[in-house]
Amino acid sequence: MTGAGAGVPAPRPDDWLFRILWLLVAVATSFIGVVYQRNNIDSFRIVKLALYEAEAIVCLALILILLLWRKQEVFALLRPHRLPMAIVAAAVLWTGITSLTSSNRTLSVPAMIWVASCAVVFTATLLVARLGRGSAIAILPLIAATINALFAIAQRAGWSGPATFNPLTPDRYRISAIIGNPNDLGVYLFLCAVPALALAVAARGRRQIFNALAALFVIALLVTQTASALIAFSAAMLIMIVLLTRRVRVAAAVLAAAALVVIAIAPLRNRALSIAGDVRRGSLMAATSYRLPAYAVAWRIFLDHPLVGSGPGTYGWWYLSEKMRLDHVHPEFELTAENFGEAHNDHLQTLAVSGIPGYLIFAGALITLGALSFRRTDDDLRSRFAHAVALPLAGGFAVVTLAQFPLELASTASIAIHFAALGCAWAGER
Amino acid sequence: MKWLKLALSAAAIAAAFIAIRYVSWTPVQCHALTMTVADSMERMQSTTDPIRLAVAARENIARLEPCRRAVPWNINLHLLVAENYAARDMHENAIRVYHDALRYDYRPEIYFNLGQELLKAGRVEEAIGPLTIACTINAYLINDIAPLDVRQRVLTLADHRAILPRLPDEPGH
Repeated sequence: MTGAGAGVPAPRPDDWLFRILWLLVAVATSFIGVVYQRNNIDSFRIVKLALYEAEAIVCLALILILLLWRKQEVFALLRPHRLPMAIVAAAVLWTGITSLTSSNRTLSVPAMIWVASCAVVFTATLLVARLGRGSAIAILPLIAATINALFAIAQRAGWSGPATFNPLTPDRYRISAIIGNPNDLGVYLFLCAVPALALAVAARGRRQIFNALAALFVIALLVTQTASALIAFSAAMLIMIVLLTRRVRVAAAVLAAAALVVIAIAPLRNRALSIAGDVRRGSLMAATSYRLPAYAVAWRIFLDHPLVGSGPGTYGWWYLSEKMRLDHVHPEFELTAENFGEAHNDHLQTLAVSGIPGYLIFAGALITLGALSFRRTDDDLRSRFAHAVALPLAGGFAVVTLAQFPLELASTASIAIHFAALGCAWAGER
Repeated sequence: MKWLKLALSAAAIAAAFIAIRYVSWTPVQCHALTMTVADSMERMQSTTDPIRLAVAARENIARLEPCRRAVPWNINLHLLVAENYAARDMHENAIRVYHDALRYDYRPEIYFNLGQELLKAGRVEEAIGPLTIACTINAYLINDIAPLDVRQRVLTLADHRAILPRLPDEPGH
């Protein structure tokens, strides 16, 4: 066998069980980006979460059936990925343990189901990623992202799309596409833009198509004005440029170009100036969109429960009582009465709900993914894609999770898990 | 052996369908139900006939209760059930449901509604705590407390932040 991951087995292309699993993983992951439920309080997040968990359940049933009929092949396919699978198993095991020790076991049940679902879909993607020769499994989710990007641009032009808005809703918050709000959409587009650029680097014959897709996602990302997603995308691009060209100067030039874009586009410029002004005035509350109490509460929960955390899914339950105590120490926190359900920082939230071991598993997953970029690259599309996507995706994800919570959302987590699994599967063994 | 594998495969598929029903289908349906019931309650507001109001509230409770048991972490279900009990003047039931809701969320509106129901049930001293917590978080709620003496006491306590919600791991929670 030549090409990516020489010596790594692939499923037999005529095996219909693997084909069904491939179809399920590719289509369901794509569909999550565009599914929504009309006439609901939360039209976007809940139905996407339900769909992802349903996908995971069917994937689990198919993996069990594959274990009955194709046990040798399944183990042969997973054997080269011992480290990612060990991290996935550790994540599920630790979530199980912390759910048992949780301060509220009822609230930890859906969180446990969510983590198990992510683990199952990751495993299923690893199993089928090497089926056939093409890159369709990587391209299909980008079609859903294209629809979302076009929606976002249309909403910027004044079209309301599937969401209904209060007349007083600011312009920025009207850009939600089929994801739900500009922040979630920004993170989703960032997570799609990085693989699109990696495909443009890897696919020598169809580079223009992927360049066009990446440009579309970047334009839509700019339209959302989500600062954290834009910074994460810039970080991912810098990493990708240094990784592929080994030239820091090129990266610096691109960074300067990005700064010019921010200066040139009025809404972005205003937003950047507003954040800079808040920082100068020493108002970190305003600069962080009043999220400081959410961070402080997560840190306080972690300090109180450093080993096992407060339990998966319990952050929102703890927030208000802890925040009211912090108001004594930090009167500026009283500026916001928002009842945060998420910490808007997955690093801190992971520490808070699952303790130090949980965070080490999270960090280990990012490092393992990033390290794939340092494996030897074979001369085929999949191997080049894995090399180009792994470190930028891991680095960008580490940055975006400083101010967002993509781990808690189906739209963003499904994309991150999909491309992380493809990176693992296509990187080969060396 | 082949038949055993076939049977186990069929069992895996059947189990998947059952699991999807509980994990995915029911939460989405229950979430959609909150919207339907909220619409129904909006219509109830314009009804002056107490019998029609009671019948509609009873029907809403009957529809919501199975969901409240199946998806207890969906706080909107608790709030709607409690509001429908309140509409039927079943204040003790509404108080019980608000206490259930506090096992999963500490939203100020849960504390406030709980306090209001305690007032309606004549348990004024018990109402002071939840009302104070609600008004400490959201000062505007103070204007919605009807009895002036209670309002004054809550205002003083909220000003001094005298009552805070218990931490989830505090003894006796």
